[in-house]
Amino acid sequence: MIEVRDLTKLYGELVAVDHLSFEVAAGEVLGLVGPNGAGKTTTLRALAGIGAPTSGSVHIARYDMAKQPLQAKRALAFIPDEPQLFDYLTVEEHLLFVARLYGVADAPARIPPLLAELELEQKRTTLPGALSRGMKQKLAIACGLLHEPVALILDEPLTGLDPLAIRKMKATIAARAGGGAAVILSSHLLHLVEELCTKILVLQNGRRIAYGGIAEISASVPQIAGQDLEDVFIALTQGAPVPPTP
Amino acid sequence: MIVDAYWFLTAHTMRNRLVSQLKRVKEPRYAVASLLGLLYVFSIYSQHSGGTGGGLPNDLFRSPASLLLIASTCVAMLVAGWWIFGGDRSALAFTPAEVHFLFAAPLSRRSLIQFKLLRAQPQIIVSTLVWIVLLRRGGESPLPMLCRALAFYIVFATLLMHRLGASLVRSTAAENGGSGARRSALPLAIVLAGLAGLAWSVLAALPKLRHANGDFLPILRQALSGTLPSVVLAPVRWTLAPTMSSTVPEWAVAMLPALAMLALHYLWVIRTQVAFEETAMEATTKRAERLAVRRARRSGASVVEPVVAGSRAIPLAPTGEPAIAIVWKNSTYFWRTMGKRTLVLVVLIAIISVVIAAMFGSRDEQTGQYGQSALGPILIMFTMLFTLMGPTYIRNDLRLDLQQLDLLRTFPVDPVRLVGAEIASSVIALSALELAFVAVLYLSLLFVPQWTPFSLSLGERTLALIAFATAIPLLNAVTLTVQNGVALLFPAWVRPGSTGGGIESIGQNLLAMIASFFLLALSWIAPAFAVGAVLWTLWAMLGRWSIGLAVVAGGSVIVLEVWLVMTWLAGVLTKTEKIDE
Repeated sequence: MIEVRDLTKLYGELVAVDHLSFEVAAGEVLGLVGPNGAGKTTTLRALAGIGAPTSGSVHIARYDMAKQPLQAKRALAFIPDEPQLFDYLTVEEHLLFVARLYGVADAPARIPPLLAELELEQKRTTLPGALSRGMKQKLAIACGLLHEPVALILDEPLTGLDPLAIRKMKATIAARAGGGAAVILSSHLLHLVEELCTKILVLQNGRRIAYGGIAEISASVPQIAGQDLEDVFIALTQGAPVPPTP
Repeated sequence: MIVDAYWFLTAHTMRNRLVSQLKRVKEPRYAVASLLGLLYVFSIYSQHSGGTGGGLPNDLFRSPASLLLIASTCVAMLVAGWWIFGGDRSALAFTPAEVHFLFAAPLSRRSLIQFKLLRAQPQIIVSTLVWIVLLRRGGESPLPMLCRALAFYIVFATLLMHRLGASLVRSTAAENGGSGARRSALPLAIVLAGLAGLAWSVLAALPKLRHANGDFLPILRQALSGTLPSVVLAPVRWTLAPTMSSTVPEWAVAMLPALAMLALHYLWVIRTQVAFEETAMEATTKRAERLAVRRARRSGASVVEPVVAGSRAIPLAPTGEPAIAIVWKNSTYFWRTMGKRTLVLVVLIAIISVVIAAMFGSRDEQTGQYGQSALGPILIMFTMLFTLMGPTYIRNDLRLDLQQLDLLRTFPVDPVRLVGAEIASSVIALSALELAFVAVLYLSLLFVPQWTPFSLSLGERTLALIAFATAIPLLNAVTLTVQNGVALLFPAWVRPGSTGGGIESIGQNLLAMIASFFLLALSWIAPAFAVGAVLWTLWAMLGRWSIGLAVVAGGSVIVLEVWLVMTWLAGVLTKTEKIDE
């Protein structure tokens, strides 16, 4: 569903992403992790069609993002870490706007249950300025889910959500994957990644340093085999195993 | 301790800012901007320093007593406003970082106020320098520059402290409950009594003013020179007097009471022990919001005004051309923020224009007929105004979405259509306003045809209206494409950013303006040729009717031009990016 081949992104001399390849099949949830500056956001931006890669290719639902960007984008939803909303459109108007962009003919039928799922029904006519950070995040997610994308890219989706909303969001992500969507989830919350993701991709300095199932990656560092993802991550990115936290 | 903190912060801020600006100057575009900014400032300075030019009128300076009286009265009214209207809360504003670090630090309120006063020093010094330059009267002033600078510094410092003191006392009254209200009651009563005294003196002179035949300054001066107003204005007069001194000894004498006023204000402010933190934080938030709006306006980006959600103004079907959603979004913004009031304003202006034309239009005394061209100049004036100001005022296009370019790129919309929809949004809004204006004039002329400009018949007026309705969107498309293009192509020139400012920022703004005008002038060449060619060929055969064909020809060239530029801008939109990590 999502295929990335030899993705490279240069900013002048800086290599932000270096020959990165991976794929996410329908129903899979890929956790994209790495230290700050590893190239995660650059990768996600390339996947979402925001920034063109210097070389390599991105395919979404078999559409080449470089050659068939409109078809690829129609199959995709990108939800950035900082919700980008229009201050002058209400919650419901955001969804109507997205419906038109993606040609969602049955939007009037889809919007109420989506608002209910994300607990936004009471805020239908509210402008973003009057929403909390968490509500804004929920609205951004609702906009992403409205057209039922087959590829879902989430950058730190749980930022600003309360515990109950986090639980619901996790259920929403799992349900979308269960429904056949390919999901990429970038997060520093490694317990969330561990809980939700079927595969992990660890990036450092723009390069892939680990990729595969959690057990598979964990086994690649024999010193801390069997430890949780946090210990595996630190061992991989620091270059040496560290004692697990008690 | 607080003084050390202030000096550390100021010295390091200035050094870092200077270093970063010097680094930027290495890049040609910033070097050019800085140079242009310097030239502009120098030209302003030289305008005010040559011969006897610039500054205030000489006859006013020849009577320093009158000037002092006028200035004292104005400043007294300003000060009274601070007290009566509950204090200017912005005087208590800190920066968000200052609130974060200083309010949580183990510092006394007195230390915080000291910091606030120290932080205001650069602003006071800049104000002093600006006033010295503005009021420079060549060789006329016998006072050395340093004396004048000191005099102005004392005025600004005293006023700043008074404003801060008034804010502390008045704005924090609510925060401190009954004690705050009691603390503010006495000074407020004194200010009100003083104002009443001034008002009484002026009212007493009212009969004389009625018969002044326009020469009311001497009468006002006499009225305000009485015992009561003199006492009321004395503190302000003492503060301002050194700036009006004509000789150094006179200045030295005037400085003593001015310095005393400064010292008293310092003691008053520094000893005011009131809880002002909450008011200060509220003022800080509001100032931060104002600065964000100002910065966005300066950047060429559109500013999102606070909006109120009403019922959905414009319907939008869920299917159809996706780019229409962009037009819908931007039109919703326009309608919610400025659409209704602007439309009402435009219609009102059109009606007032007709009324003015009726009132002031020339009228033949013998026939009783109104002059036929009275509306002509008004129409031309407003056409110019709309053309020049409209694209700056109506900004519901790419300039509105400059901060959300990334989001736009994720939309499954063809980039050319996306850019087209963005530009079309402001073209529609501006054209609708202009057409509303012209339509009101057209309809008015149906009832009062005698005011028709240029002796046009009803048929010609109708044709002119159709030509106008066709041409206006096209002309707006050119202007707004240029405006959007400049904002998209040269964001770094148009947008100084948070670290920019001062000379470089002035230069960047000048360059952006010059670039816009240059591109606009360039874009008019081809359509003007097309219009000229059609008129030159067909005028002899068709007369005024050839104007319609000329509009079509010019319009076609404009459509082609705009389409080419939009295609190019779409490529720019797709490629422009930034480093996030």
